[in-house]
Order: sequence, then structure tokens, then C-alpha cells
Amino acid sequence: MSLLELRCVDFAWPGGRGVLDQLSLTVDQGSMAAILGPNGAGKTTLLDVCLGWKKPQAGGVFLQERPLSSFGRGERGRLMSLVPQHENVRFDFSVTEYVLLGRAPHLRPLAAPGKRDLAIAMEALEATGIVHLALRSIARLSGGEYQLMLIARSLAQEPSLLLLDEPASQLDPANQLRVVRMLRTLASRGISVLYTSHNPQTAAVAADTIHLLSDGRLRFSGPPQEVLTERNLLEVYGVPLHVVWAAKNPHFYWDVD
Amino acid sequence: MAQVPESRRAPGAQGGGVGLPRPGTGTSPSQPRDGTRFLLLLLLLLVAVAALSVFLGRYPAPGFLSLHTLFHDPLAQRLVLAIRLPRIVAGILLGMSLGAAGTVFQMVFANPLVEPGFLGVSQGAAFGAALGIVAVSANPAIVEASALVFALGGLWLSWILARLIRYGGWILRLVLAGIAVSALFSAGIGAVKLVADPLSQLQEITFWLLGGLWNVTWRDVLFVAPPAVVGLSVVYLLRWKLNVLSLDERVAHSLGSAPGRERVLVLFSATLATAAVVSVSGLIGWVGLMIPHAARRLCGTDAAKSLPSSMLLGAVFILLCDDLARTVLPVEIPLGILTSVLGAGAFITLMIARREERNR
Repeated sequence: MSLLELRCVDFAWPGGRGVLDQLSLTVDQGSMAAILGPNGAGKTTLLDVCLGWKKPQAGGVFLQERPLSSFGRGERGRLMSLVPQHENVRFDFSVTEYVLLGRAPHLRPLAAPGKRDLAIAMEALEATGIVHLALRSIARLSGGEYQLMLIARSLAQEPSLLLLDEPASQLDPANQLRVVRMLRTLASRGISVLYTSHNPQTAAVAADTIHLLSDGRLRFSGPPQEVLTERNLLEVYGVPLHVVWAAKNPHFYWDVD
Repeated sequence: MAQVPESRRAPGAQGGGVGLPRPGTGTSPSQPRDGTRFLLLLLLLLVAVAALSVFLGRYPAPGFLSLHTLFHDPLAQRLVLAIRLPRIVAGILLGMSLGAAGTVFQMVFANPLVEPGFLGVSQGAAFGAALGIVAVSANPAIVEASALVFALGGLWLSWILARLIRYGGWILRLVLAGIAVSALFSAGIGAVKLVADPLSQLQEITFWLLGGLWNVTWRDVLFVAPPAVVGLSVVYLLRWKLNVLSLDERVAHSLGSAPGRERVLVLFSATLATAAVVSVSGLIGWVGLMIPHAARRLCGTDAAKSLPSSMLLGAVFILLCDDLARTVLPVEIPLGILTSVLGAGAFITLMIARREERNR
């Protein structure tokens, strides 16, 4: 069953510049899909459209085969969560206080989180492996810990679909691996994951399906070994990228000269 | 994952309410951070300070009024009932409103440097008061009504202007509009001062701008209480939600909230309360800016606790300052001067002390 479906979506800024052009995309239940493309291809805008934060000028967004616009705000928040690329939290919450904010769509209008919510937040911290940071001030987290905390917050939302914007782009290799493994664990537990990446490597190692996006259009969609060919990548990135398959994973490099 | 030492282990196992952990707990387990207990303590402190304030004053002599005098001196009874009590109630409302509104503004604008008068409210009230004094009379009822009308007018103008600005996100537009409207009203105050009678009206205006509660009566309290209580109640009920509203707009949206509408609701409620109290007290500096910082320092960032603690702390602070204002010298010291001096002093101390806490 398709969890999220975009049908022929057009999105343009009020000034007129088109960002998404006749874009159709399906995310199945429990699948893990990556949107891969160069900077400025429209990846973040695509996530915003999925989230209902930006309204497309044409086409439709469907969640569980129902139009997204027919969902209440809380209902949508219980189904879909977002990990943005940059999230600047201006106040000095503790990690647990911050992760508890993920419970917002599950709470009654004037309620604050209770014991059950706290237990769910702790589970999210456990799933992301940062229980030891529960009481830490978020001003004192490293970049990797911060990213894991954002993911924990979105897990506390208990979503069916997790949207992540460049979840690994600012992390060192060890933390990239941690995030990728975690996303795969989540997908194996039935949570669908849709994430963006400008780096073919992080897209290739984790996703079942890769959507290659450039200039607001989906150029190619399919499993990594079909989509990540040198020809396709040249078309999308505009520079020749070499692909070597080793140990079932593709590896990418380019010639400097 | 490595074993976590018991003292740093996450809460939940600790029983007794949802004790949210907060920064610093891990490094100083000796300090219990039970927010509820802290709030209760603050509430007791407020009650104690309010009770003391009833007895403190300069009648019959500077210092405390004895119970004996209170029971046998009809003048003392009238003084307490007609002057001190309304003044104390107004002080509590003023402190609570400024503290709560300061927290709301700082959270919603995600900026720890804004204060409640920001959206044209303070300068609007000041302009209204000055205009009332010059154009009509120094009758307090007229001055207050005029201040309230222009305070709300300042909010309304900022609101309209923010809707018209065709640039930036909603919050940025509100900020720009608030700055512009405040500047307009400041210019207006200057103009009114220019035409004011320097021997009487100008002094009235200056005294009003310095702020104080010296002429508060029960009539004033009845005038101020309804909007203040309504505004404070809305903000209090939505206190946990303020955390969500302090996040980026799209994140708040992804959390199932309507950031635009909800932010407007809490901002409007906070401003309503501020406009009401300021129209009686005049400009009281520093409270709305400093008290929320102090509250966050003392009981953590989570607005579910820092908002009520900011309200209580604001009320205690105003009562103490007002006690000094009316007791120390034979003449009244303007409250705004005291809050600024003591507030800035306390603020600097707080920011310098306990440096292990923060790094921003």
C-alpha cells in the first residue's frame, strides 16, 4: 500500500521560478527511499510539499490514499514527522525536554506531556543510542549528538513516515554510519523513511529506492543498482562521476583533472 | 551503549510526577530540580511578601504597622484597605503580566532580548498618557483610559502594518512593524512634551514615564484586572505549547501545530495583559526582559515551568521594589527607577554567577 503519494505536483515561488515540475512519487509502507540530487534541485521543497508546509500549485499529495488537505493538523503530525537539515533551537532545553516536544501531536490541546509520553521519549532516546545524554543541555551537544537528538524527537512522534532532510551531510563517517544503520533499523520495524541527500554514497547504502532529482524533475527512479549509473549521474550532476561496485555497494569518485 | 551511571540515568524511574530533567542536573546531582516544588516555594514566597507588604509603610512611622494599631486605629484600617491592598493587588497583576508576557515574547520570537512592550504597546501607552495629560487633564482615570486605548492602538497598528509589509516571514514582519510603530509613538511623545506646560504637565508626563503604583485605587484594580486575568489565563493554559512555538515554523508545523495562528493568540493575550497593567503603572523597565531570564535560570527552559515561575518571580520582584519605593524615603521613589536599578543589578549578578551553566 502506498503511504505517501505525490501526483503530478507543480510548485513555483510567487515570483514565478518553478521549483518542482510535474513530479510524481510514491513511498510504500515500510520502504526506505532517498531523493538524490545536486544542491538546489528542489529536494527540500519536495519534503515541504510532502509535509503540507508548502502547497503545490497543481497536482495532489496523498497520505494513506487520502488527500493530505483532508487531514487534521494533529492527525498529520501523528503520521509524519520531519528532521530538518538545520534546526536552530534558540533556547537551552535539556535533551529530554526537547525530545518530549515530539509528543505534541499526541497531546490534548492544553495538556503537557505526562509519564507515558516521558516513557516514549526515553524509548526514542534509546533507539537513537543517546540515553546517556538525556539530561544534557542541548547547547553542549556535538554536531553528531545534535543530529541524533533531532531524530529522537521525530521518533517520539511515533510516525509512520519519517522525512529527513540531509540527515548525514554534516556528520563524520562514524556518525554517518550510525545514522544510516539507525534508519535501516527503523525501516525494518515498519517505519517508512524518505530522506534527501546530495551525496550518492549515503543514498546508495541505505535506500531501497532512489529518486534522482534535478531542476525540479524526477529523472530516474528505481533500485540503486539500476539508477546509480555513470550515465544517469552525469546527466543529473553535470560532471562525470565514476561508479565502482565493490562488496555489493557502489562507490563513487571523480577525476580532478 | 556503555553503562550509564545511576546518577545520570534518565528520569522516569525516579517516581513522583513527571520530573523533567534539565541542564546541569547531571553535573550537580546535589540540587534537586523538582519544578513543582520550586513553584510551590515561589508561591509561598509571594504570599509572604504580599502579607508583609500590607504591614510595611510609613504610617504611623516608617516600618511595620503593628497588629495593635491595625485593630484600634481607624485611619490605619482605612489606609490598609483603601491604599495598600489595591496597590498590592495591582503590583501582583503588574509583575505577573510583565513576567508572563516577557516569557511569551522571548519564546515566540525565539529571541531572549525582546520584551513585552515590543509591539508598540509601551510607547503607545506612554503616548496615550502624555496626550491625556496635555489634551484633557491629569485626572488619573482619563490618563489611564487614554494609555490603554493607545497601548491597544499600538498593538493594532503593529498588527495591520505587519500584514501590509511585503517582505520576510510573519515574525520578522511583526518585529519590523513593532519597531516602526514604537518609533512613531516615541516621536509623538516628543511632540506632546514640546507643547506641554513645563511647570505642571511636563512633570506629570515625566513622572508617568518613570512608572509607579502610587495612585492605585480599587477602581484601577477593577479596570485592569479583567483584561490582565484573561490574557494571563490564556497564556498560562498554553504554557507547554510555548516550547513548540519557539521552534522553527516548519518544525512546529510538522509537530501538528499551526504556528502562525497559535503564536498570534499567545502574543495577543500577553500584550493585552501588558497593555492593561502598563496603562495604570506607567513604563516599568527591565522586568519583562529580566524576570524571564531569571526564571529560566532557576527552573529550566521548559515553559511549562518557566512561565509560571516567571509570573511568580515578577510579582515578588514588583512587590519588593514597590515596598522600597514607598517606604525608604519620605517621598515616593518612582518604581520604574527601582526596577531598572535593582533589576539590572540582579541580572548582572545572575549572569556572572554559576558560569558552569551556560555558554551562549
